[in-house]
Amino acid sequence: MADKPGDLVQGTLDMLILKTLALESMHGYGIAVRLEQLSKGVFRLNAGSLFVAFQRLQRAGLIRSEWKATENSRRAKYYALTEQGRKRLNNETREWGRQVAAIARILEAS
Amino acid sequence: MSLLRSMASGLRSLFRKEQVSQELDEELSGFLEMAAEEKMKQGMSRKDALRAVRLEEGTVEVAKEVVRSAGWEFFLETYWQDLRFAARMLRKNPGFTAVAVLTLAVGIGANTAIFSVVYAVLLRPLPYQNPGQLVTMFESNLQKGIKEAGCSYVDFTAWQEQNRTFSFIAGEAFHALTFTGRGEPSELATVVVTPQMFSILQTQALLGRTFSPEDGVRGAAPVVILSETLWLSRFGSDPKIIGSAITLDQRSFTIIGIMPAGFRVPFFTKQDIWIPLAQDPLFSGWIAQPPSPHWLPVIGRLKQGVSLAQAQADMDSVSSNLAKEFPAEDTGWTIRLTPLQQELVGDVRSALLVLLGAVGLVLLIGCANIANLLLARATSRAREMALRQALGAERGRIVRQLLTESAVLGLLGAIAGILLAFWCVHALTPFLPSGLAQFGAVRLDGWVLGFALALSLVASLGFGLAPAPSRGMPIWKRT
Repeated sequence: MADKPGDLVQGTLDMLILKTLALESMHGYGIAVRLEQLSKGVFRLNAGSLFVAFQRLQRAGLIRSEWKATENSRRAKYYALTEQGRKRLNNETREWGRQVAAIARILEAS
Repeated sequence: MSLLRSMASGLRSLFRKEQVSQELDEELSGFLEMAAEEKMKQGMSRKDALRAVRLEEGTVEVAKEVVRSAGWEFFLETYWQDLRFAARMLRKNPGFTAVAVLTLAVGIGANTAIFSVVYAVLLRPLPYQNPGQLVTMFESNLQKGIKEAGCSYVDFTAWQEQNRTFSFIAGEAFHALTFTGRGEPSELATVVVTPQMFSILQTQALLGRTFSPEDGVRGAAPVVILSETLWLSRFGSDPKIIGSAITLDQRSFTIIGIMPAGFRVPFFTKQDIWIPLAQDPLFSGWIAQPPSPHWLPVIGRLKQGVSLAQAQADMDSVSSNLAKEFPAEDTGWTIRLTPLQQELVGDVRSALLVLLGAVGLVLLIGCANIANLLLARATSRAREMALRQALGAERGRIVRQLLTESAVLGLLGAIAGILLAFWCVHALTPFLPSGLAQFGAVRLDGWVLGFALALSLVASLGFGLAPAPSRGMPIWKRT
């Protein structure tokens, strides 16, 4: 489906960021690393597209941000899910599961 | 909710640009730093690590630009840039600007002036409720060569009883009565109506009441309704005036109501007071006696859902009944129904539309001229365009810039044109059909101004696109 490895299915980046933030609040680099680790290196996101997504999610009220000190006592902006973001994540996860199952059924039909 | 947040955040980026940019800067460089540290842990030197990160992620500036251009406020910001640039370009070429603005001003001014008349005469609804239901009823007798005459009072009463398609019909006439007893005697423009006229026009009295059917019976107590204007000028807007008497043509009339200033019975321009037809000394003496002349203009309000054709058929049968019943008076007379608006407009409609078409062509020619000027200028600007393209401007962005320039031109033209139209409207007013003058003057109201602005936008879109580079053709070849 993707032209080159690591291209995300359109529209799924937001969902993945929300999922990453579901457990704890994180800074931008942390999110990038977590996404790369969890996807075993399949998704490598550059700063530009990641930060555009942060801005979009924040404006939609799905995440909020706050400047905090990192474990290396560096200042960084931490992002956290809002209540609305949590709801959206649940909905999207459910919808994604439904679609994947449906696509799988279609692909498996012979 | 999220729209509000997006707006707030966008506005913050617009007005606290420094702070927002600094924050993004700090966040992004933190991101790159952390990525570099990660690489240094794997044994790279700091310098190599930073280089590698930059290769992977691009520089901070590029990332910032990507984030910045994703918000809606970016559009506003660049648009503001375009506007300032357009203003600079126009100032730099005062000759071109003056010619273009003047051409547009003439075109838009003429169109706006004519449209204001078209709007007042043809488009603006009459100031009554459901004006589409109002119909004028005239009689004609082709055997006698009479195209349009009023109706005889005897016929009128028969119409009232026999029609099935009108909720009310009413007659009207004009008479000047002499008002005495309070200060200087004066002549008052009096519209004489049958009481149903007020039920037809459905306008409420400002104070007191309008005529009831009893007021129209012959021998009833004489009553009069005043216009607000007269009430103000002769009675000082005294609310206790209702119920007191005034003397008209040496007869005493009781004031029962005041009508708001804008109210008019159709057809007459000046209207001070209204009295029932039965009370007018001029008409009441002879109206009901045969042989009755055809003199009374009649207006009717169609019942809900009745079409003009249905009403016409209904009145045709009424008139043929009358011709059978009173062969001497009514043979040969037929009833002609016309929508009130059409009757008031008269023959002016087609003339106005032709005029509108003519000034439309004037504007079109003007636009073509400006497009030519712009094309000539585009040649001399080819170098600028080539430079912009070389620096990475997309075609859409250049077109947007050109359109902004022509929109600014169009807007200047519209402003000058509207001023011109103000003057034109005064010059045009005397040529209007007099029947319409009573429904408020031709003026440049919101609709007309909206028309002028829309026109200027369409025009500037038209001539602005002329010099735009066509798709797939690099601009620097167009020299």
